Order: sequence, then C-alpha cells, then structure tokens
Amino acid sequence: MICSGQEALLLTFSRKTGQAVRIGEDILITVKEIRGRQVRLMIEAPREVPVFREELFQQIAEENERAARVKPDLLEGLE
Amino acid sequence: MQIQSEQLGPLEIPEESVVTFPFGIPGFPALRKYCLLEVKQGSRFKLLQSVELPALAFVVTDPVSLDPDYPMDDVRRIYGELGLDPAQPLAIAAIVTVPGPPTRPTANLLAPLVMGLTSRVGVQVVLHDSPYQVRHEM
Repeated sequence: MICSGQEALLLTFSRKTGQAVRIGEDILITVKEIRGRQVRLMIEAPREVPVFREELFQQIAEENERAARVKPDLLEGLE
Repeated sequence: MQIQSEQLGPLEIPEESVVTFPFGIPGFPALRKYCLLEVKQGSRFKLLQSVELPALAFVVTDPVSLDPDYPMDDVRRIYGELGLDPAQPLAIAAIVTVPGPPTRPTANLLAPLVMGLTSRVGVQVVLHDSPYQVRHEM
C-alpha cells in the first residue's frame, strides 16, 4: 500500500514474458520469466529511485516505527 | 531554529547541522529533515531528532561498535549508487529499538542510516544479500 498522503492510482495489467510496464518517463518493469507461481521482473529506474522488495521495505518501516517510540525515561537508562 | 524535543526538551538547532533525507525514512515518508544530537557526553548512543516533528526521534549507534567487521565500504558504495556523493565524509548510524525492560535493545544493522557530512544528505540504505538483520541483539 502506498501511504504518501496523496491520492494514488490503482491499475492492474496482464503481461506476458518479455512485455513491460512503464511508469512515468524513466521507470520500466519487464517480465523476464514466468515459472509456475514465480515471476522474475527486471526493473530499470533512475538510480536515485529506491527499489525494495515489498516485504523488506515493510520490515524496515515497521522496525523504524517501533524504534521511533523513544520514551525519555528509556533514554536515561542507555549508557 | 528552535524545536521542543519530546526527549531532550527545548533545543536550538543550527541550520547547517540539519540533514535532509530526500526519500524520507521508511515508515515516515513525509518527514525529511533530521538532526543528529548528543544525548549524553561519552554515550555510545545519539539521537536522530526530527526537525519537523518534535515528538519523533530515533536512538542510533555506531554499527562498527557492534560489529568490527561491519562492511563500511559496501555502505559507501550503496550510498554512491543512489546518485549521492560517496567521496565525502559519511556518518553511518544504526537505528536502535529500545522496547524497555525486560526486553533488550536491538540495532538495525540491515538498514543503516548514511549521512553525508558535506552535502548534509541522508538515506536509509539496505545491505541486500548480507547476513544482517533489522533486530541485531546488542
């Protein structure tokens, strides 16, 4: 889910091997291979655009949210 | 500028010490401006304080103090791959989660914060294909 506070666009495409989806001018996602339940994607994007596996992004975001709950008294106990 | 930190009270933050995270930090995409602060002299922990949201701060520590073999060269390379200048002095910090007793603090060694000390541009990078985890026991 994208939660940037802005209205998001939601689209679903069907693509075959070798076909691609372009996002904006400069992001291209190509289906490289489909094998059973797994699909290999190639992502071409400007290098300043962060690309994550979604579950990894979520894991990092959740840990950041846990870490952000710093109570001043807990800070006192850290040496 | 002056901010009212929830953890440290009122603070005067010099403009030049503010680090901008152009992508935000995952979980907090709308917040871009942070400042690294000393909590206590001699402490191995620092506080990364949001300049825009005084209630938000992260406890951070030097990842090399937790693992002497921490791959600083990889961190620098990934910072460069994001189009940022890897040749400048960098501050590298692991976010610490402090759940409170009896649970021990953990550090996120998988995704360190990297801050350019000249450009004042920061990013949370990911050490893909490394053995590190978001919750490294301290």
